[in-house]
Amino acid sequence: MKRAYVHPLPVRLWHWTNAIGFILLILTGLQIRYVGIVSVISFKAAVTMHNLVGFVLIANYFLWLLYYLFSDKIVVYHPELDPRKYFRGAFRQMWYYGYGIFKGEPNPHHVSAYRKFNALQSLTYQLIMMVLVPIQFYTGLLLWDLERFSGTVEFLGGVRVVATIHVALFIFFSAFIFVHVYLASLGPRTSTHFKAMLTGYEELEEPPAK
Amino acid sequence: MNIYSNAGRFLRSALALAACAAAAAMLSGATWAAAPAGQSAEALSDADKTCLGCHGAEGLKKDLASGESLALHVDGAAFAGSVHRPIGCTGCHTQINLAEHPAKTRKIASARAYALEQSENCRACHDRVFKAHELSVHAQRVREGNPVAPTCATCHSPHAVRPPSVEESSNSTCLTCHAGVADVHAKWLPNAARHLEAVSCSGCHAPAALKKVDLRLFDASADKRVADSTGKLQFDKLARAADTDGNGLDPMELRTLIAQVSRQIPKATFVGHLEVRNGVDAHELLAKTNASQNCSRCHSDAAAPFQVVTVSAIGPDAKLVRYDAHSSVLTSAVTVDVLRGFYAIGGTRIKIFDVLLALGLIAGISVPVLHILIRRLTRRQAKHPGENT
Repeated sequence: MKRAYVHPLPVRLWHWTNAIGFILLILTGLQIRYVGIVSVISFKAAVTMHNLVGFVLIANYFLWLLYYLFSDKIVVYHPELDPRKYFRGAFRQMWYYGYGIFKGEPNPHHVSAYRKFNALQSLTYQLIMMVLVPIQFYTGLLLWDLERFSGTVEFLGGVRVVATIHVALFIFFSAFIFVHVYLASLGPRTSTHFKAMLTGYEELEEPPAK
Repeated sequence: MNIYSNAGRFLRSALALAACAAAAAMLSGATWAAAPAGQSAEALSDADKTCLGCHGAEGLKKDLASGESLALHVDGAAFAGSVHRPIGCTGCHTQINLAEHPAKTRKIASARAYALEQSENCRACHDRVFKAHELSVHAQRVREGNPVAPTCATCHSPHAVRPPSVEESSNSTCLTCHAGVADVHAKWLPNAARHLEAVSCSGCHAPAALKKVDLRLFDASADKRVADSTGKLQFDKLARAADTDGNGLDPMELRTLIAQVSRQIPKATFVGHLEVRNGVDAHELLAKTNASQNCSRCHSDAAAPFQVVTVSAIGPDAKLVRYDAHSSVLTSAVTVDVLRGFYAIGGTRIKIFDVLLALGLIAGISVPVLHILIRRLTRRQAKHPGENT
């Protein structure tokens, strides 16, 4: 079976740090928000851990950002620069997940080192990594020390507005993680993509014999 | 005591008063003419004006046996604006015998001894406060003979005392002596500066006291609490009008109130402050080792401090105008923009997001489950598996 090196080491380090970090943030976030209902660890311990993990992930985010900014791998997010083709690709991928996969149609996307994402993935991950994750980190930073950032908090409409944005995104990420893990299981075999994110090598499906 | 001696005492008192009155007339009186808005010097009684004839003079003092000087000056303007004005000078200084005043022969051991003696005067009116205070670490230190332990006047300047609720920050009094507490709290308390801003010291240091949240009307453009010194705003009237069902302001009624206030104060908002429900309890301050460090007293579902909520503005005469609100104003999505200055994670979470979280998790789990089910049901038709995420 052919293999392609699609997940370089910095990306894998970033991904798994991010994965563990997000799970910890979601769990400690649940403990913080539902203290009195959920009582796994103390409120203070949950806040301390949430803050600590948050800062680790902010630093980790820059590992991801700088790696892609300063390597040619940034192409994986935009192998196709024609927006019409790009959105058509995303639509085709949605069609596949929503209909074609049940009919046994082949996945319209084929992985290679510089085309590791399908158009739908590329679109989703860019929205998450360039918009939603920075907003979540930023609102988390503001909530970490409200007095230090009081001017910004007031500008944004006050602490309840900032907290509301943070909680709304927390709900999105909590839901997204399930879908993300499920989609990762839709490889040639269930374990294919998980193994690839550990080893860096993606197994490529052989084209059907003619 | 016969009628003549009484007459003689009266005559001496009258002469003493006349002398003070003359002194009052000679002094400019500027010290107490400039009373706060709504409290002119005219509000003072004639007897008090007479006292201030001498005691209004800056620098008036008495040399004590200890070698210290006891300041005898009283700021007339501050006194005219204080809550003690109605009882007048002799309301507290009951031991003053006008016939023999000023008492040159009266021996006062020290300024400390005088302060302790005067504190006993406060008990006559503030008995409940005294009882609470007796349990405090402050009273304990006084009993131990600590020379710097605070007496009543250390925190509440008796000639300028105002309702504690209208002070800019109730914590500022404590910080006068307890400077550096910000650093001490920052060592263990997340968001320490924010806590010191939004929670009164007694909120944690009087752990037995019941707490509540006061939503203070705030002018964001001026960055200060709204003080309706002219009475033009009529906060109380607006609050009563907004409270259509008369049972306290619910979230929508709070929006209505802020909309009405915004006609006069465009950037009006509410800033929450966690404080004791009863000012008396604020005196039962315990040593820091006994203060509450249990975050979940506030940061927990349906925590007690968030069950009682008021809205307030400083009205005319610096008196606080308060109106009751429902506890739901702290947890409603409707008030996110009008209640921008108060949020206690875990304690005042917006309830609608609990529903959204449940829906999000249901969607996040059910989408893969349904997808798997449909794939299994259609397996016979499927020829090729998928390829990637």
